[in-house]
Amino acid sequence: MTAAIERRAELADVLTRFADRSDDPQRAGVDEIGAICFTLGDEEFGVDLNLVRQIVKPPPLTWVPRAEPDILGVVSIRGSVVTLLDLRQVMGVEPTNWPRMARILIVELEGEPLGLLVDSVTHVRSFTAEMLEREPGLLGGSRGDFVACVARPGPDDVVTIIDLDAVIEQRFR
Amino acid sequence: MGDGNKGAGPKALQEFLSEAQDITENLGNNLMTIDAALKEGEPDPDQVNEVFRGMHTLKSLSGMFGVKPLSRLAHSEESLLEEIRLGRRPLDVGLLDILFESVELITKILGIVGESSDVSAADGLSRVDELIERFGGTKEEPQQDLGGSFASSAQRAHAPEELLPPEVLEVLTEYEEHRLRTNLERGTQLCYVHTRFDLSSIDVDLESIKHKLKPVGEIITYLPSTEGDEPDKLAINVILALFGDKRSLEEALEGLDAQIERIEPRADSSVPPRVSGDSVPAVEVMSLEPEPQEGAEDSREELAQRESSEALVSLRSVSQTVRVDIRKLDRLMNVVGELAIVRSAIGRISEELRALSGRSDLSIELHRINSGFDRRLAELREGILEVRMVPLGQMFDRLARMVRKVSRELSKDIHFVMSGTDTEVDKLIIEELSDPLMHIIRNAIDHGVEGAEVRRSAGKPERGTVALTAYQKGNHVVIEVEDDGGGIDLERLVEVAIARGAITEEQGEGLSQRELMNLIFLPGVSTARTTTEISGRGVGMDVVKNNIASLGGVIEVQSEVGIGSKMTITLPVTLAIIPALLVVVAGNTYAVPLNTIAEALFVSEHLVRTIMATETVVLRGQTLPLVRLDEFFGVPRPGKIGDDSRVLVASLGQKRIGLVVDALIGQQDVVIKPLGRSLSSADCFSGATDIGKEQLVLVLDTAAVIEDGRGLAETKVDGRTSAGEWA
Repeated sequence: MTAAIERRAELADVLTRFADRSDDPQRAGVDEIGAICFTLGDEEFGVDLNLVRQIVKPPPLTWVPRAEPDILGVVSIRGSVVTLLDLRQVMGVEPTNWPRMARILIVELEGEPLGLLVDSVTHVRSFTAEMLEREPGLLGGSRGDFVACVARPGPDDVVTIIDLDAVIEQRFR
Repeated sequence: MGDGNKGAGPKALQEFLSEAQDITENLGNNLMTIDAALKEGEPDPDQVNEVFRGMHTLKSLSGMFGVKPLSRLAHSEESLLEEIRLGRRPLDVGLLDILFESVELITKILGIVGESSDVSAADGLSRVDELIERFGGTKEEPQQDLGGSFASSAQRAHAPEELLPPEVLEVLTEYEEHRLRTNLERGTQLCYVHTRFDLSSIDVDLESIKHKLKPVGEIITYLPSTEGDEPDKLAINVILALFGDKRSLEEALEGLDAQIERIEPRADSSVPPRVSGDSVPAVEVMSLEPEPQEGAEDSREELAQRESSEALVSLRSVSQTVRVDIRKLDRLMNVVGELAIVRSAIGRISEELRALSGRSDLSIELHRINSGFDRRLAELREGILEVRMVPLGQMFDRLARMVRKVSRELSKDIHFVMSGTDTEVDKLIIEELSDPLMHIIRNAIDHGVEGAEVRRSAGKPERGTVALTAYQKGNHVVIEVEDDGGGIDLERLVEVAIARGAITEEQGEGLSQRELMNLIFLPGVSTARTTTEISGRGVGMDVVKNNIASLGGVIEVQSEVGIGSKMTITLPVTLAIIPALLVVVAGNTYAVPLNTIAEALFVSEHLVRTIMATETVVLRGQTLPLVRLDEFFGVPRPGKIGDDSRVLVASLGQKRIGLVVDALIGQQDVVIKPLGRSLSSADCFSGATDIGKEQLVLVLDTAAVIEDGRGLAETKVDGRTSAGEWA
């Protein structure tokens, strides 16, 4: 568990550093971060590559009464019970029917697996420091806190990197 | 050294860790015994020796695996223990504290290495060097001191030279000589025990005589002798420091081929022993294959050699046991769970076949095989369950060490009594139980037991008592923590609860004694006037309660002001696999643990009476409150209680409640898997179980539903007590 916490702390650190470096052109481009990118509605999002253990097709879902509304239920992944979080609700994306391309990202946080349901997984991308921009201030309220940074690899290409730590922090603690 | 073993696989590392863990546990236990003995007088030198040897093994093991901080720590500690066991450094409580601290640190290092599977993960731990420094900190001074005490004592008591011939003295190791001197200083009577053993069984016989002599004296050494002429027998002379009189020794040796001879000061003792040529040795030393004299040239070297050979021996497993990762057992249990699904499918086919083809040979055969399968499967399940069971003793020992530490930190004298240490509980439960118990016991010492002044004026013995008791009760294990402290002040508890906003003032007035007591389980409530390092921050009892609830257990508190408090934890013996009833609620399947269900009833809608906004039925003259699970789950099914509906009468302790379900499917053994912390809001489920085809079924936590349906939690704090602390 400690290892997981440390890794997360490290990640948060890296992300902050990158965000900071974008202001400092001299130090930019030294390193890269890898992210698994996916869609929620029409938008593209990403999470740190190192946090994702597995990507699976959604198995049969069991609804859990009395759980928070953005928890879809539990699924069985390789013999263990994994809570499935509706990332669309968390990020405030309009709900539609789940497309056939929907996938579950299994991430491990504090030693516990958590499933994130996304509309489709696009690809693994790496972003250099100068592509990263600190939270642009477009998103107000609690959801703004869930954004680690925004990557702009191209003029029409925007990927919002989600700070899973913050999501968990607010949702479960 | 570490480089050579970077290739050691994770399995080898796991083995090392669990072996090291065992050794560390033993170290701690031995230290506890030494600590207890130190309070009475003097610790058993054998125990000190045991700690020394354990540390030595730990050093070799950790060196081999390249866990540097551990081998460094163990090495320094071994040297320290060597000083202690040779009497160069007196063992006192302060030194013992350091030793206890190092056991803790070793556990921590092992934990760090285990979690990261990286032998160098704990390399940066600064506490190691701090501790090592403290080992050496007071090293020089007592050493000189002891030199003095040696000289002075020689005048009072017999010197070894006066009693034993030089031939014998020469072969003693430094440690043996130290023990000899120590005993002589005390004026202990020395004697020989002449005995003979069959060569073929000598190791067993030696052990047995060691065992018999232990209570009456301390064995200084064994000397093989030339006496006796039988070729297949070996005569052994034991030099024994006799604690009691000769009678007790005779009794101890009854039935053995052994003679006792007191060792009196020798006639020529005034003559320097080395020069004496004509002394008649009381014991003649026969040189056996590895010449004992050789070792006597340099007793330290001999000692080192012997110790290293001991370490080699202890690396091999002596007992007929295997250590198994609990996860492997979990996997096996999962397989059993899946087999149970297969079995019920076969059962169903068998029934269908019988219905279809009547009592044909084939259907009878299938039925027979199926029931055979059923029996074997039950045996397999029992077997695996048995393997998972471990006695509570190990955890209790850890708690005892913690009690020692805490009571010293708070300077409270605590008498810690344990009973029922052999009560067996599922390993997983034990793991999860240790933190809550630790918390409860800390509370008992910190807030329960009063200071010495207060106790004296209250007419209580100054020494407080904390008792930890465990026993099995049917399918449950009961663990009690009882203290003879000040008890819980209910008035103050209510004040605090209101001040912290856990309840309102009006709510506080209407509470029964029992409900008042349960306030301690609300978040943020603590009766402690001062917050200490150890407890009193009011985060705790709510977490304790949640942890125990997540194990399917309940915690109850009884307390009387001025007399003391008692926490009673009731837990299922195992969580691994339980018989459950599969039921349907609003179209979904759920499992209800069978041991919480007393009976299932048919109830028609017209029998339901509403009393004070609660639906009830009358069962054998008693009112049974109903909980409609569909409503409880937030998905009310339109319509009345239907034909298929059943009321499950759930009971837990004194509480009874009727759970209304839409239909019963049947009974099945289920393997409960925990829900993640992310689902702590759904506290009415104790877990989920796989019933085949990747389909999960939630397992109802009947206790939580009863609590929620009737208890304090929902009405007073919005049903969200469990979403509290996870820190």
